[in-house]
Amino acid sequence: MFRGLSQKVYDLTGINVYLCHQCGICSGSCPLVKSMDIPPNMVVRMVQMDMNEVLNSKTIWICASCFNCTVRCPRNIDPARIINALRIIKQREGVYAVDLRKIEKLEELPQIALIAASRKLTG
Amino acid sequence: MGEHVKNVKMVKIYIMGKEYEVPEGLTIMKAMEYAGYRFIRGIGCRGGFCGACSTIYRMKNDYRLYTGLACQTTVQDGMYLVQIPFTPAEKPKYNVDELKPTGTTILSIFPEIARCVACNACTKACPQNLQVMDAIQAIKRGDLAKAAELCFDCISCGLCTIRCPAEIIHYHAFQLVRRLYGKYIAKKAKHLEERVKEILQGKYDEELEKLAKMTIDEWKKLYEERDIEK
Amino acid sequence: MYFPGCALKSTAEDYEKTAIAVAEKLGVELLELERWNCCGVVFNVAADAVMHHIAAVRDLIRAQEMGRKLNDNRLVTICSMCYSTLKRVNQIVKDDPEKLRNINEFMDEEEDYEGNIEVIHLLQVFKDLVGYDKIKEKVSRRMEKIKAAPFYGCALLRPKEVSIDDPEDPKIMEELIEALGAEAVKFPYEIKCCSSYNVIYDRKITEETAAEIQRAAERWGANIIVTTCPLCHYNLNTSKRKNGIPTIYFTELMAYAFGLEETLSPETLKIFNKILEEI
Ligand code: SF4
Ligand code: SF4
Ligand code: SF4
Ligand code: SF4
Ligand code: FES
Repeated sequence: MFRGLSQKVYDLTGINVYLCHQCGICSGSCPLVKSMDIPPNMVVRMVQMDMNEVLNSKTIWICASCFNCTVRCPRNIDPARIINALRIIKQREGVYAVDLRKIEKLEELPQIALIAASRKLTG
Repeated sequence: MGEHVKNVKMVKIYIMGKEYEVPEGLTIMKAMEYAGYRFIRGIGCRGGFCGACSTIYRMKNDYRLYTGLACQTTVQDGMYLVQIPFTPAEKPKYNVDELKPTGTTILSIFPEIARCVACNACTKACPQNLQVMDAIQAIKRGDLAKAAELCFDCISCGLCTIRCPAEIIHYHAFQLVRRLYGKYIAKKAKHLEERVKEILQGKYDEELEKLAKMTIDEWKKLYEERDIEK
Repeated sequence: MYFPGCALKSTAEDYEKTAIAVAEKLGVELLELERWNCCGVVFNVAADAVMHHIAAVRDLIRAQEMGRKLNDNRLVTICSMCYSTLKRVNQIVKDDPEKLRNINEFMDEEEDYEGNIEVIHLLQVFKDLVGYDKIKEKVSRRMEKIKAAPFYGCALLRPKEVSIDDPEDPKIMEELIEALGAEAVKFPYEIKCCSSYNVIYDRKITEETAAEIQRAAERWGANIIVTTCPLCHYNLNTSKRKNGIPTIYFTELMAYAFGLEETLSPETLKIFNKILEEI
């Protein structure tokens, strides 16, 4: 059943993306959807369609892993983890979303922001 | 083999994959010289202080990758070894006088410290047996006194740095920690302050002048006759 | 035993100070782990992400070592993100013996983690071990002018498996606020996300999110936001709005209610004084 991207996501997370019935609840629950270029349900759809373009979206870096969508998804398929898996695919290719040496106001940020960002946004 | 090695037990070592028989008890550095290598780089003090002679090795039937200083570690039978060059890194520019002694200061110069995954590879690699991971962790949480204490004996060999999956540049970060600690946190040594004052007041000018005019042989003599602190 | 985490040792010092002080007042002794490392802050979801669990498991091993001496297996966390990371990793290695073996083998310099540590959050200590009645007794100040909106954020509530309360309708902080004699203002964004590390990816997203949350809390009548997370604390206070209501830690609110002003920073005291003046 799985081919390209959907297979990769399955390998990383054990999630079967084809369970999604595109209800859109994830996107409706997402606190950051307005800053995203592709809403979460669309991301899931694109994985279903094995569309590698989704790997270039900003969404995969903006998602804060807040798990709002996860708690509410009626099909229990955990969109947050799917998005995180896409991010991990990029990270493992060596793509970093931020340059740690160029962060604004780094001295005043709490460490946890920096540590979280380096784990989520760098490889 | 020459006369002088008769009666000496020989051990087998592999330098960059090539087998050599060398006398037991030599340091790796001497063993390599015995085997015909001439050091141009990767050598300095020969005394375990400069950190230039980083070496990694494995033993037979052991998956562990060991590290050591070539000038300090003795060869053992079945050692597979290679000297590794210094782990390169740009020297960051900062002015200690303008920095605040906090963890975030160090993180803003070396943000990659935030990437530490606590794998402990650095600690295992350190030939000085320092708790390298704990020192990095202390920086992460802003405990500079602890960090400085833990990395006091770092000789900047770079072995931890080459093993680190988070690509942290330990030896530069540690240097900064010690500088900040020394400047802002550590208690000032009174005798040092007094001596500096004396120097500034010109108390030693005359003696220095005299030294400057001496010949090398006179220096040598002076050095040999000096009082050695016990 | 408690695990402080990096933030509490630096940018969120006030949080640690007040947490220890109020716990002590309630007869709970928080003993810092003798040795610990950063837990990693965020949980890596990939099935093969063993490397990213190591930090947290190493902390659990430290807790195991110390717990043996103290005869206690509870590890209290204060920062929400530490809670979530330690709790999730703990759960994963308990449920997956293969993974645990893998991790134990990787850390050949440490003793094996046996999976017996229980990770809890300080709020749970106050609710379940101390009880709100006891908290009420310790309140020494009239608090009714303080209208505090609890902001839970993500890490304490989601995903469900690690939630300290109902993930859609949490009450734990509300109840605490009321026990302190202040007014708890439940507002619709209490479980929203503060945008987390987006503050590094794109600061604008965080500023906007913070402003939204503040505005909502104000509309529902709050004059202060109470949080458990140093990152929410930072992010919510970045909102660029003039006179936006401030965000403080729940332990600061408790310290104030208990009359432990000496543990509060001058800035936090100013916040309280301002609220009382205005009304
Ligand atoms: S909430 Fe779940 S089922 Fe609905 S669109 Fe999102 S991922 Fe698909
Ligand atoms: S986890 Fe990501 S996609 Fe899901 S609701 Fe939160 S920010 Fe949106
Ligand atoms: S801390 Fe790193 S650079 Fe310093 S001595 Fe140890 S291994 Fe070498
Ligand atoms: S090797 Fe690097 S990532 Fe591993 S513990 Fe040391 S500093 Fe951290
Ligand atoms: S040569 Fe200086 S430490 Fe070995």
